[in-house]
Amino acid sequence: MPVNHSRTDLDDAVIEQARAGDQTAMRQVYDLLGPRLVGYARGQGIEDPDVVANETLFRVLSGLDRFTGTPAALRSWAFTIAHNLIVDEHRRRARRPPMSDVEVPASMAAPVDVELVVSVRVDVDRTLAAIGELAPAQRDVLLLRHVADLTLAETAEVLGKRANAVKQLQHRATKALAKQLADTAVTRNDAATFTRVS
Amino acid sequence: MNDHHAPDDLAAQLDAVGDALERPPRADARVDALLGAAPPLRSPFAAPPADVTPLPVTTAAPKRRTAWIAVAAALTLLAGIGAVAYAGAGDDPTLPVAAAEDDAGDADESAPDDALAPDDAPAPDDAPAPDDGVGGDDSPAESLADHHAWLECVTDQFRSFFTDGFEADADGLSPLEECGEPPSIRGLFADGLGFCLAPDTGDATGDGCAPPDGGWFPFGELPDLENLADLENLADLWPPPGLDDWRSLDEVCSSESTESGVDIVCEWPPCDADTDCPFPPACDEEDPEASAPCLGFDFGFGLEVDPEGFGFSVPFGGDGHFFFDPELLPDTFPDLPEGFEFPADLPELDAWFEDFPWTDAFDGLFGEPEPADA
Repeated sequence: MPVNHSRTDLDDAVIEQARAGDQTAMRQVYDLLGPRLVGYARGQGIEDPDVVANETLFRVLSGLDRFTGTPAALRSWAFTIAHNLIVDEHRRRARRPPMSDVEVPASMAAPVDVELVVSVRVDVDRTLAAIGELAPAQRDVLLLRHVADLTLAETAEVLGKRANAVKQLQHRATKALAKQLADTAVTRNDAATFTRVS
Repeated sequence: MNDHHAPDDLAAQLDAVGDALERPPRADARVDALLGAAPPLRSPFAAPPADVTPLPVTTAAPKRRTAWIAVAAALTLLAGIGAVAYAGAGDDPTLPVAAAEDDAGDADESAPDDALAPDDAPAPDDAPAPDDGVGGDDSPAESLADHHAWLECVTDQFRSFFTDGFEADADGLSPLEECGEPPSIRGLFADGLGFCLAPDTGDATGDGCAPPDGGWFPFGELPDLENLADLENLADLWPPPGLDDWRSLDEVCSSESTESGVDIVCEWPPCDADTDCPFPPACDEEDPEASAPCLGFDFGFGLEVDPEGFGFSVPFGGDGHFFFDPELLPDTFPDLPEGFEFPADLPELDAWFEDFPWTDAFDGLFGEPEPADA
């Protein structure tokens, strides 16, 4: 069962308090943005997502006193920083990184039903691998929408595109992803059949 | 559940991926200092963060990032757009100003070390919209003027191109070379029945000429686009009334190869078995609201230009172009009708074009063809 991402995380009052230097409020900002920033960086294949997340958080928190805007603007700002850092990182990286497993969070690893855990894990791995095969712009959109949980407008701002262009990219990304997942399933089924026959 | 415009199961899968990827970042001294004497972010006894999960991420540069520019001439069979009727649909295209100055999306250009310099704090919500990044720092007026001039030149080229046929380009020169580089890739055109204006989607697919990215302006001639509001309103043109959600035209139209060419069928809300209309009803340009739902449906062909030459494209279904260039095809249109075969070379392509029932479609597209000189 997917967790319902909620965007009711930051409100104007918290931001205002954080801007004024209230460290409790700043920690709220940190706690709410941090995991998503890590998730976005991980989804983008960054080798050390914590560096990206912390660098982003540092810049956000240290620049809060100059920030004026809504919670949505704050999210966009943070993920714009993260996205730019990630683009920089991709440019520095000359070769493809090796694949490794996804860490399944405790909330997903906790169920007693081992089969379910494995199933979820496999689905996540497959989906994540398929996302990694998408065109960069499509991958950016999917990750920002589903991992960072940004709105269409926020995603558009982070990527410097129009909202409709993001729609288009997301539409194509979703179709491409569905096809890839279907193809993967077919391949896996074929392999299983072959194994049984042989 | 957030409306992510994905099928429910896939959206759930994507959300699960999001959940799986999220975790608190490891402690960082600089951040800790900002947070003051707050408790440590992680218990010192907790396991260190798991290793990252790098994906097989391709680099930022698409395969043909700068390779080609899409130019399409198209016929708008039913070019009604009904901007007034559709205004307000979709998301608000007015976006807050971008916080960062660096152009993170440009390949081959190193981003500054500072992804967000200290002075780049987000601007207030009422800040002016950011530059679209197309065409450098040119003003909208200059951009449109350049665009207009380029369109006129290209229109002339296309007119002679299709009047004289492929032989005129047997030397391998692109018919567009004389026009130079377009001011941006976002302008696609048709002189006669419509004008397509597509925002740069940034993905260099060149298929943004149709909704939802772009739109067709039902202008009889090359338009005078001094009013930028038309550009801004593009985002509101889709979806048309009658569609539950936004969909690309390639979802409502399908094409299949036949002996005589290509049949295109659009399953549009007002078109059913009784009405037998292969295309959506024409919009009444004088009263688009009264004639809604209706939408311009572009059908035509195009010319893909890149520094190494050109290839032809034929847009079926209105949502972009099916490229004849086999190298472009898989990347751009994976939804190509099964079994559809493309001519492999120019002579064959020429013959294919000759066989295709273009005549009616092109009639009047470029006005009266000028007599051939010799």
